[in-house]
Amino acid sequence: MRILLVEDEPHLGSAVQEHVRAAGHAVDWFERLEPAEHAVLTVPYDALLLDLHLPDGRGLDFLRKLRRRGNALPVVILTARDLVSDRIEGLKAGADDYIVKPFDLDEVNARLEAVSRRYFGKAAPVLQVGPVELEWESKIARLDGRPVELSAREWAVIEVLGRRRQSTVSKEQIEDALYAFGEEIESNTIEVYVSRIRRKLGRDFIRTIRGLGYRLGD
Amino acid sequence: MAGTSLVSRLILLLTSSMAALWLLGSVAAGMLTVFEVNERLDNAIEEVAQRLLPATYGAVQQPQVMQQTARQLVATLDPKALAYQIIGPGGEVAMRSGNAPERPFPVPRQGGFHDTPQYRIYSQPAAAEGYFIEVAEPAMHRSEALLRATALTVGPLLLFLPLSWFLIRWAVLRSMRSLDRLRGEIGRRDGSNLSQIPDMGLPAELAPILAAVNRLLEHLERALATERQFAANSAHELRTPIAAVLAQMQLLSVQLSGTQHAERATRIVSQIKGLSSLAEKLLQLSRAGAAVGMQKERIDILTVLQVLVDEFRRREDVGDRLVVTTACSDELIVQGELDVVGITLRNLIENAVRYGDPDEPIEIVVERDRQIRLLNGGAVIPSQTLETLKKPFVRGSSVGAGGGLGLAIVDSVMKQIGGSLMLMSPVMGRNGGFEARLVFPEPI
Repeated sequence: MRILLVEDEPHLGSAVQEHVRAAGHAVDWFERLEPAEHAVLTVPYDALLLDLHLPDGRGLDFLRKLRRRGNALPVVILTARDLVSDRIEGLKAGADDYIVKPFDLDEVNARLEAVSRRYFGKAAPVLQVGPVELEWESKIARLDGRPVELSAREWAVIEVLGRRRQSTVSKEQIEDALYAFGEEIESNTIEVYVSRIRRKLGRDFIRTIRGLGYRLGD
Repeated sequence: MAGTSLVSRLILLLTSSMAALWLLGSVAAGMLTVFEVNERLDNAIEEVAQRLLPATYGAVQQPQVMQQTARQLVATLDPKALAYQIIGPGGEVAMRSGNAPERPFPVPRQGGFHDTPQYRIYSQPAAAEGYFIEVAEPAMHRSEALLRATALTVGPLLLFLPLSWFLIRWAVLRSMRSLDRLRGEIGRRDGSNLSQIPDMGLPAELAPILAAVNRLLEHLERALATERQFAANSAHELRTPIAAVLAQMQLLSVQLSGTQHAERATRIVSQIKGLSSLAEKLLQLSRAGAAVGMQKERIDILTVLQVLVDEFRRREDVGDRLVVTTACSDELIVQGELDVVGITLRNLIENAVRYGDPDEPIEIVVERDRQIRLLNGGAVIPSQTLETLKKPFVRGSSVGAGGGLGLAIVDSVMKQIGGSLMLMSPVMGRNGGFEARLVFPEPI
C-alpha cells in the first residue's frame, strides 16, 4: 500500500514511516498540511495517517475538505486527544479509525490493514488462488497447505493485486503503491518481485497480461 | 446556640431585651406609684389631723358636745375609712371616731407617722396642752390602694409583652426575607452550578455579600476552566513526546533483537508504556478534579458506550471478549459531561481488561434503572481489599501493570455527578469474578 503520513513531530513521524515501510508499504511523510494536500491530489494513496494538530492547520479541517471533494481515502487519525468527544468529532469528519498517542507501532500497521480491508473488499480473511491460500490478517501464504515465507515487499505486491482481484494492475500502479516519493526504483524492480513470488507460489499465481500489467491467477 | 436559626436567635434576643426593659420599666413605675400613693395618702392623713385641731378645744371644754360633733365629722363605721382619736394628757381617749378602737393606738406620743400591723397612724400634738390627735389609716385600705395603683400602672405593660413578641417576630421575618433569598441562591450553587447570582434588589447590608459571592464564583469558574484547559493541553503536550520516545524505542528494540541489548530495550519499552499510562491516569484524575464545575448536559450513555466498545474491540487483547447487553433499546440519558463520563467508562473497561481473566468475557450490562454493570472473570477479591480499591494508587491484584488510579477516578467522577460506584466480588450468582456497578442519578 502507499500511505500518506502527516505528522509534525519529527521523531514520531520518522519512526512511524520506518515501521510502516518495514511492513512493505510505501510511506510519504509530510510535516505540514499544505504539501500533503498537493500530494493527495496527485498520488493514489491507499490510506492516510493524519495527526490533528499541525503547524499550518487542523487535521480535521483537512479531512473534511477531503471528504467534501468526494475522496474516499481510508483515514486513520493519530492524535494525543483521547476524549470521547474528540473521537466522535473525528469519526463524524470522516475518519475510519482513531489511534491515540502514545501507541504501539504494530498497532498502526494493524489498523492500516484493517481499514484497508474494509475499503478494498478483502473482508474474507482467507483468499484461495489455485493451490495458494492467503491469510490476510496474519500475512501467511500457503502452497498446497505448506507455509511459504514471503518478504514484506513480496507480500505488498500480492496485496496490491489482491485488492484489485478482478482487474489488471499496471506495473506503474504497483510501483506507486510500493514506493514513496524519492525512493530509488529500478526499471525492472516489479518484474523482479513478480518473478520471486512466482518462484515461491507457482508460476500461475500471478498472470501477466501483455501490455497491461498483472493480475492474480485463478 | 450552634444549630439554631438566626431568626430564632434574633427573636429570642430582641424579645428578651424587650421583656427586660419592660420589667425594669414596670418595677420603676411600680415603685414610683407606691411612693406617690403613699405620699398622697400620708398628706391626706396629715390634712385630716390638721382639720381636727380645732376640735381638741371642744374636746377639752365640752367633751359631750364634741363627741356628738366628732360622730358627725367622721360618721362612718367603715373599717377602711380614716379613724382618729384625741388622746388626753393621761393617755386616755378623749374623743374618737366611730370606727376607731376604744383603746388608744399603741404608738408613742410623738409627732409624726407610726406604723402598727393594722394602721398607719399620724400623731400630732393638739392645741390644748398634753393632748394628741392621732389619725389612723387602716393598713388594709392602703394595701388595696397601692395594689390597685400598681396594677393599673404595670398591668398594661405586661399585657404588651406578647404583642411585642408578635411584632418583633413579624419584623424580623420580614427583614430576613432578602437574606433568605440570598441564602437560597447561594445554596443552589454547587459543583454543577457556578452561575452568577442575579441582582435581587438586596438591602445595602447584603448587596456587598452578593457582589463578593459573584466575584468568587467568577474566579472559581475561570480557575476551573483554566484547569480543564490545562489538563486538555497537557494531554497533547505530554503524549506527543512520549509517543515519539516510545516509537523510537520500539524501532531500536526491533533492531536490537537477537543481541545482548534486546532484553534491556524491551524493558525500556515496557517502562515507557508504564510511564505513558501513569501520565494518562494523572491527567484523567486532574480532569476529573477540574470537572467540579462541569456543565451537566444530558448525554446518551449508549452513544458513549458504542464509541468506547468499538475502540476496545479493535484491540487484540479484547476483541469479541467485550460483550454488551442492554435493557434500554434506544437511549439512556444521564446528566454529566460527555468526556468525563467517557473517562469513567473507559477506566472501568480498562480495569476489566487489565485485571480480569483473559479467557473470560468482559460483560457490560446496561440496566433500565440507570445502572451500568461491568463484569469480568477472575479470582475473588477479598472484601477488605475491595474497600480500598477506590483509593488512589491501590491495586487489587499484582497481575497487570495498572497505576491504581482508574477506580479512584471513576469514584471521584461518580460522586461529582451525584451517582455512585459499587464494587463487588464475587459476581452475584457466580463463584468468582469482579463487578463494578455505576449508579447514575435521575437527570433533572
